[in-house]
Amino acid sequence: MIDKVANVLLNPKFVNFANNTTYTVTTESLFKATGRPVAIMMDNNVDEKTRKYAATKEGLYQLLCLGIYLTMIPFIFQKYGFKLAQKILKGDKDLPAFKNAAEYLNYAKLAKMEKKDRQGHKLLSKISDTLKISKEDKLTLKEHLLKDDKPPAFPAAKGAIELSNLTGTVIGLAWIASELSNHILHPLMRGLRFEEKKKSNTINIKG
Amino acid sequence: MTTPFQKQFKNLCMNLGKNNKALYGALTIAVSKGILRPTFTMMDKKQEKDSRKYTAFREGLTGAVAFGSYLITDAGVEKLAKHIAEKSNHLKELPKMKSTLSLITVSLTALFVIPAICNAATKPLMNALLPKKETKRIPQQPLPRKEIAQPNFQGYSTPYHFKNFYNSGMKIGGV
Repeated sequence: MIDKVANVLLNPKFVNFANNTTYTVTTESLFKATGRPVAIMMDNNVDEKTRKYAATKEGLYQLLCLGIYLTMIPFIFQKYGFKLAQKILKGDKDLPAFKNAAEYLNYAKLAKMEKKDRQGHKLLSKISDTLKISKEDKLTLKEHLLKDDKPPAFPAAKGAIELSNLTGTVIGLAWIASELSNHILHPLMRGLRFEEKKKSNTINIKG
Repeated sequence: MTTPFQKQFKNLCMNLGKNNKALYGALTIAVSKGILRPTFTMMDKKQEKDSRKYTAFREGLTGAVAFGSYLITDAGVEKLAKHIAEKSNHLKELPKMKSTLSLITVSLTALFVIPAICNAATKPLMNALLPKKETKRIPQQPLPRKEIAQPNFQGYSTPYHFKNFYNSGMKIGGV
């Protein structure tokens, strides 16, 4: 039994999923978008109308957060965060001059594969032919992928992407989502007939 | 030449790259949302003040409960992962096991634990921490009645023919 549990926990796809901030935040947001409205509906301290209103608003807010996260993180924070990290650590062997975050992510996917699986893989075409760890290195990164059993992994590059994701999480989910929700959720709630125009909603806590 | 900032930045990136946990993302969200979300809610003038107070309080509380719950469950994950790794002879892969178990527990905590604690704690904490709005008690008195001035007919009663003007007398046309 315990071996089966260990096998599930060590499944390479699951490990990769759990190590990726985007996937974990997405999973958490989906659970929040379902769990929190259900919990609010179960809160008997508040009247039913208010519960329905609060649960719908919470669900919509979490979906808004997920939308913001999925669109802003890869296209803005990951892109520019990786570039900024490259500028800060310019010339460092642990963070070579990848064209962008996407090129590193393709490289990382290939580096995790078995050597025989890398040969002729379509992702190889997305790795620069001239990119080296440093000027002193005789092999390019592409050659490392084709010749080494374990090509260099560049944890600093992965860390730079994770740090960008975390920064994006704070700015996107806590700041932008809160600001946007004030402008988007009220018209949406009006559309769903939970709010009336020019009439404020009151939350009635049972005495 | 590397500056102290570059050194620290590199250490941070290396640590996150080698061992990133689902916990870090969850904690970051809990702290930032726990502070910023109530602030924005209180600034939303489209809602009534009492409603804003309740929502902001619940949001702040959710952030605080989430932070604590994630830390506690993560401590449990450490022990559980070690136990499974020892029993299944996968001690070398303990960090991988921790990261997958961490994802499972963070998700379950977000789904069940945090909303349940918030449901149970919001009302008592709100009653204890927020000052209750005092409502002025209006003394139970009959509503003042407006005195209607009665016409003075100087000793005579109300003229009968005015009262029944339309209902009496001879009808013309026989309808």
